[in-house]
Amino acid sequence: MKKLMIILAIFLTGSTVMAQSNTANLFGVSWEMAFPNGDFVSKPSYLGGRIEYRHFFSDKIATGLSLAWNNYDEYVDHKTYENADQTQAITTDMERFVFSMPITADFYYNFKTGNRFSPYIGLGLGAQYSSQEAYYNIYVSEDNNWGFVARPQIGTLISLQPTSPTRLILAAGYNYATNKNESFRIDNQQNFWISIGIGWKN
Amino acid sequence: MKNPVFLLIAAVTGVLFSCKSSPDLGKLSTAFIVSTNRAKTANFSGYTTYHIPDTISFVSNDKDDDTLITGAPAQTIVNEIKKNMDARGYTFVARPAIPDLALRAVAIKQVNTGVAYPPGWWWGYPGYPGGCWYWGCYPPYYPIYPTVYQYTVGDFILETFDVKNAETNNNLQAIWLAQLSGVLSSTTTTNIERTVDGINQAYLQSPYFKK
Repeated sequence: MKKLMIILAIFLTGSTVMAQSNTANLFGVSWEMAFPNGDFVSKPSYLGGRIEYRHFFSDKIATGLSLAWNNYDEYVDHKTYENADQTQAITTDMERFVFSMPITADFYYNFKTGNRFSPYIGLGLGAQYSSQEAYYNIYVSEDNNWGFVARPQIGTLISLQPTSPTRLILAAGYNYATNKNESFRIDNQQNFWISIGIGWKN
Repeated sequence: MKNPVFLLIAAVTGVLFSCKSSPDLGKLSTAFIVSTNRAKTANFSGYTTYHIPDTISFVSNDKDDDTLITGAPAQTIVNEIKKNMDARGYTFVARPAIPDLALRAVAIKQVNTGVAYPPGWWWGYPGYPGGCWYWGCYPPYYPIYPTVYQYTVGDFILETFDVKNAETNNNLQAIWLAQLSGVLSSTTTTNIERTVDGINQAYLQSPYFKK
């Protein structure tokens, strides 16, 4: 909760600065694909996205807020699971499903190139909501939790026409979240992601 | 709206904002979930003989159902259990001999879904046999429980009791429980096949259960 308050404070402070500034703003929507780096699910997710807002204080510095999400769905064939002292065992196949939704305050450093490309590096810090579900036969085990999330990223804005406000947004990054689930032995949630999107910059 | 890009962004946002999708459950099998549970201190090689009745206790919330499964369906299942016990080096003994291990099979049919019961709820269920058997009366003692407590559609429980040490322990200790859980088919043959597969899996995942 304390983390959320800090994030909220950063965002509100940023908003005040934004209100006083007369520089550029960008609103974007992207398709985000994620490649998990964990044991619970390993299959990539193509059912993800991101919406974001950025405020450019100058050509180089920008802050923003973004909300992303992804859906991981994976079938795991029959397998026997044992508890630590090997007194219990259970055999079943299952469908594993994970939904994740990181909400971050973002900080960007933009490189000025003088052409249509505006590459940048960025870091998003915030909170991630996630739900983990395992379906087997007619049963389901599920849990949901919040964690701290860090999203370092690189990307570029591409101006489609010299005078147009439309931007193509290409980005790639890493998502590290502290969401835990003891039942499924999840200590954290990590994934690479790439995205392609469209933005409007005034 | 001055710029059509706004419309585009709004449309794309709408599509993407279906956010959380639903899992694809099409690949899930209908095989029973097989869970086994053993008493940590039990010495499985210390027993020689076993007995299992040729009927299966039946607990159902359908008032028309009987409290016992008999005949060919019971025989098929009991024979499969015997086959596994024999393969693990134990010898079947008939009554009135007193076995080292007593096995009992219980089938549970729960027509209603989503009803959760505390562990062991079926003990003392109307129509369910009590704890007094031909080899004596001992209070049932469960150091272990079935791992799935939510009886929704169908369960088959195979209990193995330590008769050999019952007098010393002054209780009848369940040393091994196998539980098969899952959706029941409307066809008895299919349910029996799933049960037989589940029994074999229960023994397969319990390599310690041998003479």
